[in-house]
Parts: sequence; C-alpha cells; structure tokens
Amino acid sequence: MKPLRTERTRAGTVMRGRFRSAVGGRPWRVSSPIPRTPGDHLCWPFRRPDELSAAARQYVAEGLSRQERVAYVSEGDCTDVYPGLVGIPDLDEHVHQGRLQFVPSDMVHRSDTHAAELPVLEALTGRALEAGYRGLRMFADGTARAHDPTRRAQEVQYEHQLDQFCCTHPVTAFCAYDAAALGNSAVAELVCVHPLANGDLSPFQVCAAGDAEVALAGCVDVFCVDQFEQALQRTGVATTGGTVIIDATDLEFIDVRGMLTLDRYAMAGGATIVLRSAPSVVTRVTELVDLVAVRVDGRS
Amino acid sequence: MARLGFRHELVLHSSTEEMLDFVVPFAEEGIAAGEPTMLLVRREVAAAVLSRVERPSHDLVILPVLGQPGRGPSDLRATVALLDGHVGRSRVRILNQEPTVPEAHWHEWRRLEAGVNLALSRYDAWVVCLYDRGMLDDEMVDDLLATHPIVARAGEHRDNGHFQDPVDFVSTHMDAPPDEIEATPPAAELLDPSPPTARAAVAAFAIHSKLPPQEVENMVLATHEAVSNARRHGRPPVILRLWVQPGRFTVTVTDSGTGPTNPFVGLLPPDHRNGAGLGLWISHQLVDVTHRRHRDGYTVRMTATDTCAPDLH
Repeated sequence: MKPLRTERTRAGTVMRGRFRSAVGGRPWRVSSPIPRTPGDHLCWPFRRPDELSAAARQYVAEGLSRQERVAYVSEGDCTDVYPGLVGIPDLDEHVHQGRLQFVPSDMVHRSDTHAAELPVLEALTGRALEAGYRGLRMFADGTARAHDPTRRAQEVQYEHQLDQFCCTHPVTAFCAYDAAALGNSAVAELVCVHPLANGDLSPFQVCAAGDAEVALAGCVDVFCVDQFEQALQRTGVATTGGTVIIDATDLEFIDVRGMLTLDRYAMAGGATIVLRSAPSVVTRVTELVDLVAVRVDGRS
Repeated sequence: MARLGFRHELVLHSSTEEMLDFVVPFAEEGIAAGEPTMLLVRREVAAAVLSRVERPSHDLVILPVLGQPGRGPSDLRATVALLDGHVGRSRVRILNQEPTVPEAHWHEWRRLEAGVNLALSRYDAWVVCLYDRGMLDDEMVDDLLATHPIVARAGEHRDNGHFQDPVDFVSTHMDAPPDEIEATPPAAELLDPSPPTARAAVAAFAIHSKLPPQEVENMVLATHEAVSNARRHGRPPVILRLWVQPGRFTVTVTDSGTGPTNPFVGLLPPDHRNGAGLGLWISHQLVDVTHRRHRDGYTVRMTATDTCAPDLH
C-alpha cells in the first residue's frame, strides 16, 4: 500500500502547519517536544541525558496516544534506551503489540551511503499505514553519527532528505543531538536544516518546502554566512542551475554579506535564486548592492 | 581623443548673475567641445541657463540636483553612474549646484568633497561644485578650498594653493562633534548587544519617532552594520544608545577601539564587492552618519529624519 500523503495545510507559502508551538514569534523555534503532528521534523539539542529522556517520553507517549506507530531509532541494544522511556503507561504492552518498535540505527543509516535510507523509511511508513496506524513517528539520537565532520556532513544531507520526506508523508521526526558532546557549532550545522528546533543554536533554518526548492527562515548575517553557505551546499540548493525559488516568508533578516554570499553561491551553480515573499527589509538590502544571480519577489 | 583627466573645481558665487557668469560659458564651451555636459541645478537656474545658451545641443543635459546632506555616498554613487554612462567617449562635464549644508552635516560633507578627488580620479571628467557664498561661514570656505584643487576666479580656472592631500585632510578631521542630543539621557542603552538585539531595539523604539517605515528600515540596517562592525573589528565594550524625538531618531554605537583606519570608510565603496568597509558604505547610503574618535574610543552616530529625499532621476 502506498503511504498516504499527509493532509497538512501549508499556511501561506511556508510551512506545513508545523508552527503551533511558536516561541517568540519565530515559528521554527519550539520549547516543548509536543504537540507534534505528522509532517513535523524537530531538532532537539540536549546537554543532559535526563533532559532528553523527559522530552522523549512526552514525544513517544503522544504518538502512542494518537495511534501512530513509534519507531525508536537506537544506536545499540534497545535495552540501552528502554529506561529512558520508563514512565510511559503500558510501555511493555506497546512494545509487545508493535506500537513501539526499536529500530537499529544501521537500518536507516548506512555508513557508506545514504541512498538506501529513504526506501527504508518508505517501507516503515507503508507498513505502519498498512497495519492501521495513522502514521509513523520517529525518534532518533544522531549524536554518534555527528562526531566526525565527514559523517556529520552526510547526516545533514540525510536530515534534509528526511525533511523532504516528512513534507509528503505522514511521518513525524524527532532528531536529538548531544550539544555537550558535539559542541554548539557542530550541532548548529544540524539544527539549521530542520523546520523546527528547540533552542537557538542556529539563527536561520533551511528546510524543505512544498512549492519551493527550500524555505529559508530566521536571520542570516555576517556572523553565520559560512554556516549558511555550508547548509546550502549540503542541502543541494540550486545545484542544478536554472531559476530556483526559495521561500522567504519566514526570513526575518539577511544582511548585505548574507545576500552577497547567496549571490556568489547562485552564480557558482549557474542558477538564479528568487527569494519569494521576502520582507521589505530584505528587498531594501538588494537595492544596496549589485546582485547578479539573486532577486527578490517581495511580499504583496 | 586626448584624455584630460579629472578636474574638481570650486565655484563660490554671491549672486545669481555671478553664478550664471560661470555656468553659461561652462555649458557653451562643453557643447562646443562636444563634451557631454550635465548641469544638476535647480529649476530656476536651469531655465536661466537654457535661455542664455546660444546653441543648445543634445550634449547639454539638465538634471535634478543631487546633494542630500548626510547622504554623500548616495550622491557619489549617482555621480559615478552618470560618469559610467559616458566612459570611453570624451571628457564629461558635470556641474553640481550644491545645497545649503546644515552645520550638523558639514563634517561628513567636507569628507565627501575630499573623497571625490580619489573616488572620481579615474574618470575623464570636469566636476564643478557650485556654492552660494552667503550660505557658508569662513571655516566652511576653508574646508572647500582644502578639498578642491581648482578654484574659479574672475572667469578663470586657477590652481588652488590651499588644496590639501585628501587623505591627510580627512585623517585630521575625524572629529565630528557630538550632537546636542547625545548630552541628554538616551531612551535606551544596550551593553554589548548582539546584532539581532540591536535591530529589535531600534525597530521597537523607532515606532515612537513616527518616522516613515522606510526610514526605520534604513536605521535598522545601518545599526546592524555598525554593531556588527564594532563586534568584529572594534574593542569591547560595545555600547548602543538611542534617542527618540518626533521625526528624528538617533543611534550611536561606541566601542573602545580606534575606529576604521581608512579615512574614507563609508564614503567610498570597498575595493571589492564583499570587502572591508562594505558595512559602513551601506550605512552611509541609508542614514546620516558621522564618525568620531575620542578619548574613550570610537563612535559612529546615525540619524534618521523625516525628510523627503529629492528625486535623483
């Protein structure tokens, strides 16, 4: 059975109805792991295991209560993570009935390539729907895959693929990373490709969008232009050339250096990038510098 | 055609007749030489010139005046655009009827006049700055003489012995006095603000100034650049202060460093499109900016006012 497409509505041009828990008017920033609905793709940096366990219990329990199958992606033996979920009512029964499944990380993350990951997710999602669940709710702690810079870059690519997958499937994803172990800078590389994130490690987000190549939210300035360019490269934005739409509805601010970085990036890829629905301050920035490969379609 | 180089000439006049005695021959000689001659003058002067020029030609173009005190880089950018449109032909003549420059803007204005000598030096152009002597005090005249290598006197274009090296001149004039408002308690003072915090503070307080949205946006952008510069290149602490008045909004950003080393920072575009000085160059096009070195460090003051900018084109 082919997985059902989600019924999420996209408010405006950006995002997915994912923003009910918005913090400080920034729809990508959340302070609670719940409520989550299919389509949500949440990054959860943490510094203490008990922090993560508390968030995991809320997230998993909510999925179980909503008739979603929960896939708990684990690096090692499932017993390693089991104590973290203790306290969820009827936990053993959920496991016994297959409502909560422990999925080895190797199954969805192959070390050599990421090419096989989406079919695995597709299969997991399909089986959940065939079994009568409303969708698949994934939980994963990706810390172990993010220590090495090369693997971290692959993990970022995977996260973007997962983000695109969440856009079109009844899948909810919770991605945890240990900021104490990895460092804030490394975690920011991962946070910035999620449409929802706890905390403020990344000032901007580059995430999948249904009617644009990606959506860009938050603030891009001289202090994060390197991370911004890296995120564009890793998510493969505009690498095929041509005219590429970036949804800028939730872009709060981009300064001149950020705009020049985007322009240089677009030129290198032989593309023209259109920032759609950008706020007027972004339009103003484009008037101040000569851009070759970026234009802005402001908000009407 | 032989290249004649860049000429930057000062004309001080005391009456309309005296002004026209310079402008009309300047235009007629330009036409006769086949040189594109652009007069950026006020409407009544344009009418008078056109009525007196004997053989008007398509080489003679009348344009609206430039000269927004406090927005020197915008004027410079517009002048460069005019010159770029004629590169490779013959020498270009541009005559600017300068505005009355308020005292508060004079420090930046004279920096602009000095910077013009460098910014336009690559052009085959004769740029004339036309000032009403009655609107200038003696110190202003001294500054203009120090920044124009040629001065018109009695129908002649003479080398000016008072002209100073532009870098030396500006380097010794980074001393714009504090605005009176700076002696009053600010509406807000932020210690080491992040750029987002600075932008948010400016946007929030600017509402009380009732400035047009575009002026507020300009100040948000300019403040972002000033705070980013201070954090990247200055020395902590970085202190942002802001003052709100009806129709006027003032922001200062102070750090403990010595400020930019380039005397023309903000006035001339950076050497390459993403180079040093880009931020202040942007700021100068958005709001009125002054630079001040002082005992405690370096302060950049930015002022947005509710004034309608003249249509440049």
